[in-house]
Amino acid sequence: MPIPPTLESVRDAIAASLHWPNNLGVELQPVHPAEPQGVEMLLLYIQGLADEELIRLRVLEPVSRFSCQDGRLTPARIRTALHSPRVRLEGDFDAVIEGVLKGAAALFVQGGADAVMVEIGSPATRTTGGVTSEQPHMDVFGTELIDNLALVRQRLSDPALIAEPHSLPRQRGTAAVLFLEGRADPEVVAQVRAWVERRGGEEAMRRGLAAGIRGKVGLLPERLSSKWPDHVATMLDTGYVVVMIDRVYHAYIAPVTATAMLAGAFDAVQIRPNSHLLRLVRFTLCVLVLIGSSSLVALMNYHHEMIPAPFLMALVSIRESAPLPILGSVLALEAFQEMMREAGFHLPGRFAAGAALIAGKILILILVQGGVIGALEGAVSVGVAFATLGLLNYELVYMLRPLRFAMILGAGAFGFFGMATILFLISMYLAQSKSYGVPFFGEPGIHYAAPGGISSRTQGGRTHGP
Amino acid sequence: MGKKHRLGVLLLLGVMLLPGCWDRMEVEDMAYMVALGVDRDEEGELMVTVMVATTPELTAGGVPAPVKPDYSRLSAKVLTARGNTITEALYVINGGLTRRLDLRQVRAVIVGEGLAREGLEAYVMELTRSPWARGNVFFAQARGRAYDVLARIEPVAEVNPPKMIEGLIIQGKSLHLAPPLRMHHFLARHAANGGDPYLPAMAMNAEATGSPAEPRVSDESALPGELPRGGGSPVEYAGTAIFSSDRLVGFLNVDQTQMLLALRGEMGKAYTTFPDPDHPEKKVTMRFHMENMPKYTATFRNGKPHVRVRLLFEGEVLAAPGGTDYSVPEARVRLEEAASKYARERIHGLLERLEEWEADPVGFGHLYRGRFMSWQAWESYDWRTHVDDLTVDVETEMRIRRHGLVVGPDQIS
Amino acid sequence: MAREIRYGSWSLAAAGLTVLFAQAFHPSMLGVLWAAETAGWLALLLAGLLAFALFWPVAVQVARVPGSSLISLARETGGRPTAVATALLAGGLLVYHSGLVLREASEMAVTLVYPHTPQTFAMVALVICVLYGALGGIDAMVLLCRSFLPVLLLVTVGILFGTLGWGEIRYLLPLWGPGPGLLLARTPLVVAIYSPLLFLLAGASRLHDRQHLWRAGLVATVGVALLFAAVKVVLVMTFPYPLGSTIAFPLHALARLVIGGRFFERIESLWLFFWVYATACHLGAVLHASAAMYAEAVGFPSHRTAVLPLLLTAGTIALFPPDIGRAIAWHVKLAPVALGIAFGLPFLLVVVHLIRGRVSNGG
Repeated sequence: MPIPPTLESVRDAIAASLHWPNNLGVELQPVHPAEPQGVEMLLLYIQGLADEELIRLRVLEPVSRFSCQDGRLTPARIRTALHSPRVRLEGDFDAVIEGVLKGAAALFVQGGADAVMVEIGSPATRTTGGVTSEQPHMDVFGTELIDNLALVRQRLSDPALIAEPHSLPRQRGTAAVLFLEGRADPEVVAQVRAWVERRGGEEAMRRGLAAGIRGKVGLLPERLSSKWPDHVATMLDTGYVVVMIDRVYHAYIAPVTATAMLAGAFDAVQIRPNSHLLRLVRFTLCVLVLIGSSSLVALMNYHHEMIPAPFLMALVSIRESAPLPILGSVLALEAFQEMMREAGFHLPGRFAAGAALIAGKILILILVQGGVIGALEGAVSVGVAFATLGLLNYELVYMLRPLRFAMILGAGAFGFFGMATILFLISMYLAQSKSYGVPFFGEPGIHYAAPGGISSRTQGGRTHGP
Repeated sequence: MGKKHRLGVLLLLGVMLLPGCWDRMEVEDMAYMVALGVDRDEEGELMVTVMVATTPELTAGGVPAPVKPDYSRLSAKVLTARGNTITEALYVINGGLTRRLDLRQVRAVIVGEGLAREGLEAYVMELTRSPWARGNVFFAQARGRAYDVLARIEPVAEVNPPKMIEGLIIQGKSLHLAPPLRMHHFLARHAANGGDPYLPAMAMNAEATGSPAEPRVSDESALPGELPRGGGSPVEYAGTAIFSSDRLVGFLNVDQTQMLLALRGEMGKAYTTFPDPDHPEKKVTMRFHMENMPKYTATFRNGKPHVRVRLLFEGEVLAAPGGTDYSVPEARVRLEEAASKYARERIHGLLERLEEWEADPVGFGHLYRGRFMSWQAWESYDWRTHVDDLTVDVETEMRIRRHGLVVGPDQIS
Repeated sequence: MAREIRYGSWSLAAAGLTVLFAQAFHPSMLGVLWAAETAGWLALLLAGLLAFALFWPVAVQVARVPGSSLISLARETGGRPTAVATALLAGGLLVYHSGLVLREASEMAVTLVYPHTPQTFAMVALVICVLYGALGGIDAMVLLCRSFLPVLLLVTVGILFGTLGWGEIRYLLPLWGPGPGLLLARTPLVVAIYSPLLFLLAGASRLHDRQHLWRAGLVATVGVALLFAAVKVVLVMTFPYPLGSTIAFPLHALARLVIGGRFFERIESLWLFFWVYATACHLGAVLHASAAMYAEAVGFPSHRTAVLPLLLTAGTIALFPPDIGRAIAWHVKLAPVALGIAFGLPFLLVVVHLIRGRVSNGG
């Protein structure tokens, strides 16, 4: 598409493609050269992506000094005036928008067939303190909403990405509702918007994470949180809606679905099959947390035949002198596990939680050695504890941890039958749960939309992002 | 229904489940039976023998044990009781125990000869009805009393009784001294209209207690309980028990066992010794297996069933004490013919015994099932009445492919 | 603000597969099949095709009427009285079916693993699951089944593969079982197994591609026919005919035989876990469908009002048979009635609807 001829039509085209002015961070401002007077140009850039200080230095100041004696202001002349290898002319409007989304600034001149593109440097970012052994080096959100938005836009440079501004007057802040138009379900967007406006945004800004994710009473949170731009970009790309708030360095993701809960922050930097496998691993960990200890109870109390016979004989001799029944020792171990974890959270230092966990393991080892509990109970309890560590998503872990006690009681009362009933009730509860109208076992947007809703299947073939 | 209510239902269920646990049993409160023996004694009563694993003698390292493990003998106790049914006798045995006798870990069922000659169907079905014993237990026929087998078994290097049973099955699978069968095999083969079941045999060998081995009485392969060996367990696991319907009719020796398995196409690697064709006073030992499945051609000849079987073996020379170099093609052909003739003769011997017993353990009857349009037609044909009319032609072929690490005769001087 | 969940025909098909296949665990359903002796698998396949052939016109027609359900088809055809009668018959069949399955399932739990546990206790645990499932409704059930189906299939295929080593192919002979004529004559009774398919017609209104309701029916009937047939083949190969007909719990009996080293033997209790889950899905979906039919016929705003009375009825029916043998016998005896109500009645409605439509168009 060529550059529209008049500045009015340029304004309209930008409004159509970038949803200006209803898109936070998209900056369109008039610029006036020194000579001829009264002539207007339009400067387009994205806040955070293009450094405003550099824009002032490289664009605004040279242009305000620029004077054109014969009154014929053309893009070529402005390019000459800006006098930098980073300046070029671009005749295709879509390419201009693409460049702006990558951090450039664009100057439009009345009647110009080209726009003047100025490449501006990348914004400052805040990163994790040093590279840890396993995790890739990744950016995390800071406290400035504009910078945080830019971090997301860097990863998802798609004109369909809209960041709707919402002012939070009581907290004197701003919230942005982010979604990909055409991919996110409009009804979910409307409901998230309603939450932000109905004081939800202010609550989240005032009270932090708790108000951000928790809603009604229930096992599931109402929104998920993330501090990783890569994570947020991936979620936006798959149709989720994200809320970002001034001076809060968590982004809130809605709706809550099983897929979203199993998605990790680092999936975005993994290659495809690997990220699917990781999701499978996390699912297995969930299952392990849920049924690990309870299967042990069921096996040792009801289904002895399933234990390999030679091993069973050894097991019996170990349990011969154990003071507690298996249900008692498993419950005690699990409760103990929770206490150690809680204690770990209150200790100072970075590895305190881990250290408390290890201390717990050593204590379990001593109990096993002393014959107070069986080796198998000890081993399973340690395994389950490590499985909970393997799950990155805290909301998921908080949901699973109490449920495993229900499973243990079910197993203690009725073996695998009890476990299956409890598991059915839990999964039925999850299947019924909806977040913003999207079922927990569903996908965001699309298939669950009311008739006439947008179907993502017809939207294929759209390209976005590097 | 609100979310609070849903949680309420969950909690309600949790509370309701709490008073449950009627069937909860701790592992340390059970006496795990690993083997079950069933006999009919002289008075005509059912005698049940159980081998219970005695666990305190088995410990994992590092955990205090009440009794120091004795690694020279099996940690098990053998108990018996009488009753009208197996279940009744097992119930009676509990009288002498302080732990509940539990059937679900039973690994082997051994049947006495007296009982088997009357018919086993009712007892196998009784065990099949129970949710605890199951079809995949090792199932063997005792030559003599099952009690003797269980009471006298003293396996070398075994402490853990379930491990011992696993060992029996592995032996059967790899060496073919006896067919490795489970209870369900017996039941299915008995029930399927078109063949008869057979079982591995176990027997007390009174002479095996002394070392060294007693002198051999004949050149024939030995029946269970008569293997020329000394030392080891006095109970041996070799040979096959043949049934007609569900009644025991006789025992096969090790050679015949191999041939039975070959006819069924289930033989793995087997060992055999036969006269050297060039030096009849010397014997050649070979390891052989089936090159492919037996080929059957089932027809009716004058209205009587007639089956042609073609068996193709592949062999490896293990010992050739005669002076002939059997790696030379002409000599090899002579040896192949001798081996194949030997196998054929053995099979004929086997078939004669089977005809005499009116048993069809090979399942020749199943070859005819497909010739009937409906199940009712097959039932009314009644294979059982036609077993004695059956004639079988056997063709065998042996191919010697390897000669071990030595090429040439064992006599080089 | 609650929004209606909509799903595609594949999701509904997954629910259909789960619900129908859950019956493979129950003695009565495979009990019907020994009538076909060694050719039980063939009877199952034929019955599956027949079930689809009967269901297909119903699916097409139900998708066309406003409301997209069996009851709205009945109302379109013969007004409110027809709708109420249809709900009474079809819903009644499903309630009766749930009652008997409830009884069988709880008896099964007690027989198989918990001999000292009172049977009512097992039943109460199941009833709570079913109540929750039926209240949750078809949408949740579809989502749940869609996630659970792969696990169920994996476990079943695992059991079948694990048991394959026991079987002998020659036990499948003669191929025609009781002979071609009798086989064909006995097949229609087997179609009764597919009668819970009625519940698909309760879920149709939420299908976002309603004209594809037939696809859900196709996948459910033919898929389940294939699965049932596979189970049957392995069963006949493992438990040759006269023996097999004495086996009360077929899939359980197969699972008991699995041997895969020290760890994968004696695992039928693990299978029990999936069975209880599948049964809860099965009964939940069926009972919900019944409640939805009554609610629609009478004009209740929600099916939930009808769930509790229907569950109580089903629970009462579950207590009626004096023993497991008679519970199975009642179920088997129901086969012709089930066939008539589940397939004959909707088919009749479709025919009448079409004729009336033509008449009114002509007029």
